[in-house]
Amino acid sequence: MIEVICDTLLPGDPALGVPPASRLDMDGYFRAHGLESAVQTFAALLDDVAMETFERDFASLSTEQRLQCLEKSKRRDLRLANEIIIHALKAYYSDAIVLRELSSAAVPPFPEGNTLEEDDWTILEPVLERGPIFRVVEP
Amino acid sequence: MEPVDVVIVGSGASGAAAAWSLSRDTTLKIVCLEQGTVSDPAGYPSTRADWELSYHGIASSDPNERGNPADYPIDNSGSPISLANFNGFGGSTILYSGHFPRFHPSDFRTRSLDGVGDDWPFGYDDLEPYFSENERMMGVAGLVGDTASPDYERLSPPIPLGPMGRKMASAFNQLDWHWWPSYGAINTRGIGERPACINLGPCNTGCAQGAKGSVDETYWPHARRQGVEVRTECAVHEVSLAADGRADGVRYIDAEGRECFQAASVVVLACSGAGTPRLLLHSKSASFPDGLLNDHGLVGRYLMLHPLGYTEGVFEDDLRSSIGPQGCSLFSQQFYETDPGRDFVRGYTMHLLRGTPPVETAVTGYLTRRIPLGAAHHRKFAEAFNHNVGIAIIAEDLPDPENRIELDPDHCDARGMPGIRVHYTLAENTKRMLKHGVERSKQLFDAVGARVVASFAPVKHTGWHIMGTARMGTDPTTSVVSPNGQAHAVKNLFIVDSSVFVTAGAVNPVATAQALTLKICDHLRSNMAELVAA
Repeated sequence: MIEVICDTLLPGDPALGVPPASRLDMDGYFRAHGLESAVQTFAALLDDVAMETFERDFASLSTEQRLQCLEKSKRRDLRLANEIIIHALKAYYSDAIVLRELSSAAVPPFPEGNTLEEDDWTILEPVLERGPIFRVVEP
Repeated sequence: MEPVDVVIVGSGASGAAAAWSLSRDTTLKIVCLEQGTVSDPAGYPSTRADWELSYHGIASSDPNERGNPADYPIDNSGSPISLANFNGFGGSTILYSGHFPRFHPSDFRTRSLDGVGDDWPFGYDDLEPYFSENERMMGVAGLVGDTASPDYERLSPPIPLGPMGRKMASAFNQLDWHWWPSYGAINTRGIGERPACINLGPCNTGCAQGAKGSVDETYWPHARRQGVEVRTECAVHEVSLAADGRADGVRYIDAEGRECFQAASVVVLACSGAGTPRLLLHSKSASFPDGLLNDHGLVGRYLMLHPLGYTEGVFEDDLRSSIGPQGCSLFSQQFYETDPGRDFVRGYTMHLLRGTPPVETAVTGYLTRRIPLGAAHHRKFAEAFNHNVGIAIIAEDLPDPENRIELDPDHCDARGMPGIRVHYTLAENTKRMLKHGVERSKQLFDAVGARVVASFAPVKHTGWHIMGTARMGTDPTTSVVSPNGQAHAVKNLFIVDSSVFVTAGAVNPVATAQALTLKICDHLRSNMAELVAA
């Protein structure tokens, strides 16, 4: 069920090269942060909302229907829904697999780094032309 | 414990500078007591992919959230701004961003020039040689020739602007506003054994590379070679007075929980604008029943912060904005000095912040409904990440005796010493200043076609710059210490941190605090023989 929930939130995008959340160790993240029980409660809440709205369990719904259930779950228990959703985002965007796909930026650990090219400081010419702007104070 | 010549309480920005300066006289026996532990750079969060999670853990700026045994509770319920700090060897420089500008000459003369605050008992020119000495010790990058500040003697090559910085520089140029590359205590080339920055970004979780000038990397290796002894996990809870009214040492609890006394001829306090008044207020005696040096009720009062405004813009282009030192790119002091045409006195710095890192981008985007969940999530995230830029408005805060820190006996640290309670109200002048700054930063984003997605002030968790709580002056009824940092009421007690600031300026205060420390310690060293012999 955790994989279904996470993939509903973060299904991945092949065009952007980012994976679905289920490809990552989301379960391990939730365990490491002591959230197993909260996740189970949230899963039960989603099943309740799914049964109430579509008379089917959450996992058997279409993606669109699952997203509707997620929105409705917030009205039932905003604090719980936000806790799990925010942790899912944290787990996803702190995973080295995702970070490597996001940009050309280096991902820790060291010694990798990022290069920023040298600047051409002639862009300061307009500032220099206007001259000093600080107040001169007599000692 | 063997008596020493000098005991320094606190190993942060000012404690480290004091230790180095005083230990140039190698005949002196000097001990520094630090209540936290030594951080291991190999264990800094920036060595791991999940470094961002540490913002709400070991690298949190909020001691109430951090849960470090060295911390003391801070009750911020009476303030729109929460105090931030780090207790450990190196103090808050472990987590700071390294932005390192100096105060301006006008900051020392606000009463004479603008009729607000108070004048310092000396001016910028008196501090100038100490600014230069400190920048040499800390390793400061930047560019000489800044039109908003008296010139600098020497700087390392500036930190690269990156595509984001260049884009914003063009916005400032379009509006004919001042901007300049940041002054940063960050190595842009190797200096001594310290390597150059590799632009990873998360300076404020600790720099594992060692390129950032935190004082454990700069002053302390020299001070220790000069013989200063550092004792960590030693929490000082009282400055002790002898029968003759002089300080005779400090009482502290060591790592094993033992009550200890360190006798000293001179006591130097460098525990920050929060920790120093806390220690003074807790050091009660028959001579000072309301706390040491508090005979005129001034200790903890005149608290100044730098209220911060924030505006965020998003660009169509990928500007690689998250890459590079977070807090150092460029800044503007177009609105730093008083202009009679505005509805406020004094001014502010506009400080460019690099783009938010991935987790922060995603979570903020979700909470503000800018980045949805489901299939559209990834595209919307990609349109924000590395496309966004922040502008912080760093507003000058004017001294007000009602803004204060006091002991909070209801919330104590792990050793039973009271934490602190903060009482702070934003002044109308500051509110107008922040409003002006937020409007001007929106104007900047408009000038280069960025979409403004957030703007607000004050920002809650930004109370890093804690100043004024044991102010200096010549009159013992209106100040706690003399212009030389010497307590008016206890002649062998010195305060060398930002507690003694008279005004706050509108820039990060570390450069000025350390320059002031060096100035005070020069005086102290010159008079040490007299103080030690007495």
